[in-house]
Amino acid sequence: MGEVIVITSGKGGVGKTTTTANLGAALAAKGAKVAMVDADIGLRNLDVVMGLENRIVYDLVDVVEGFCRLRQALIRDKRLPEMYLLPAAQTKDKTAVSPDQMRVLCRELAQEFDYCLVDCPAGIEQGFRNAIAGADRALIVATPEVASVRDADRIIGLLEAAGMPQPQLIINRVRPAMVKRGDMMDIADVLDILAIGLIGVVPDDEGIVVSTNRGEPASLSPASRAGEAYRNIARRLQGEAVPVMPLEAEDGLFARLRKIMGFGH
Amino acid sequence: MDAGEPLPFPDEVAGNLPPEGEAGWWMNRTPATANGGQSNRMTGPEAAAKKVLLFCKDERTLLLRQMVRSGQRVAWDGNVVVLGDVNPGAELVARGDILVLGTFRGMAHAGAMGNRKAVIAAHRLLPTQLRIAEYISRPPDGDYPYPACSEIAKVRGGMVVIEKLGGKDWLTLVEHGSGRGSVPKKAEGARRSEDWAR
Repeated sequence: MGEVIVITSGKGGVGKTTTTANLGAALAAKGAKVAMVDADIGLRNLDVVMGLENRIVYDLVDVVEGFCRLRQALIRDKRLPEMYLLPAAQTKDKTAVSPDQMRVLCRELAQEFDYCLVDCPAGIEQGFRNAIAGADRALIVATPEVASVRDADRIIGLLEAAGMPQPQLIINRVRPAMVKRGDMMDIADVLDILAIGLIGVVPDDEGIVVSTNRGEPASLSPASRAGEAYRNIARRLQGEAVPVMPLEAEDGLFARLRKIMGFGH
Repeated sequence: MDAGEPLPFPDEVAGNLPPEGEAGWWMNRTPATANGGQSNRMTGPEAAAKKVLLFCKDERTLLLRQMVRSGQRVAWDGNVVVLGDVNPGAELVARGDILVLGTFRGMAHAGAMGNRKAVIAAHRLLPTQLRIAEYISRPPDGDYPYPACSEIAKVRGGMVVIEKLGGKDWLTLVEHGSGRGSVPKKAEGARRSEDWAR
């Protein structure tokens, strides 16, 4: 029996879909059987980020309406044979699915896959309730911005009320230089407010824009900084103890040189 | 993705006509389950007469003078002509042919009730996916070359092929519409669905 994990945030645009795609790819690259579910009916993106948009024939709504079998709607990834995507419908809306239907669907997926990652839509309305309905646990994605943290806090409260075990936090798009200048909340500030376990920190990485546009998860490219952070989170999901990577490594050589030469920050 | 699987939409296509005064309903159609499937259906074709041309002999034609955007779905019991672009995430489903006098980037399903002679033509044909009757094809992954000219997709030899549209091909299109349907020689530089892996 696999685990159903919902990736949620409350706020839009903080990287839920990117996180889902990258964690899914990182888990599948390590040999796990992974199903990714796009619960954002009407505003689907996960298929685009995974580069699988043109393979969609059936979608999640077709499955819950009994129009096709789950197997028919699952799209096998073009790179990783053990990774599948259940796309959302684009021409319907959130009311096309009920939390009960999602619960049944997630149970069915959990029987076949090691991990079922549910990409939650922004907001706290029915789309959110659908996405969390079948989940065993939740990952909260937040960026180090006041608005994002505020929304994450609201979501954590709603998850608690729904009886979900304590969620874990991914802090996304951290810019170390800004943190250093005091222009961005640091990890401690965010944890201080949200008071939940941290499962990973992902540095802001221009390469993510390129990889999501191309439909190639960054966690599959060894050179990507954000990709490495996602690979680390995937390992932590699997129970490994992985130290948080230093965020400043993007200055790499220069930073080390400065340190050696005594111009430390 | 197997071509032999049942089509997703036949019930959507059959008899789905816009009611009078709600010319835009098919653009933002609510699920049939939400309203009992009633409000989106009409009693006869007359009500949509303003939007309908007699394009081909045996099919009614829906003329859309607008862009079709992501999440919008046009399902029509006849031909569909769009004077505008169709974006990724938009769906055109027609019993007959689909013509787009703009850039087509979405999903089109022509001959959705099983007519393998249906065609999909566009001023620029850059689809996410093309379906004709029970055949499905998609473009190759990554960037692929496409000609700067109008193209037409049709089923030939059990697969969807894309050819340049022009010259003789116009004639073929017209002939197809009237049911004669001669098959032209393969057009120069045609993209064939052999390249379009399943």
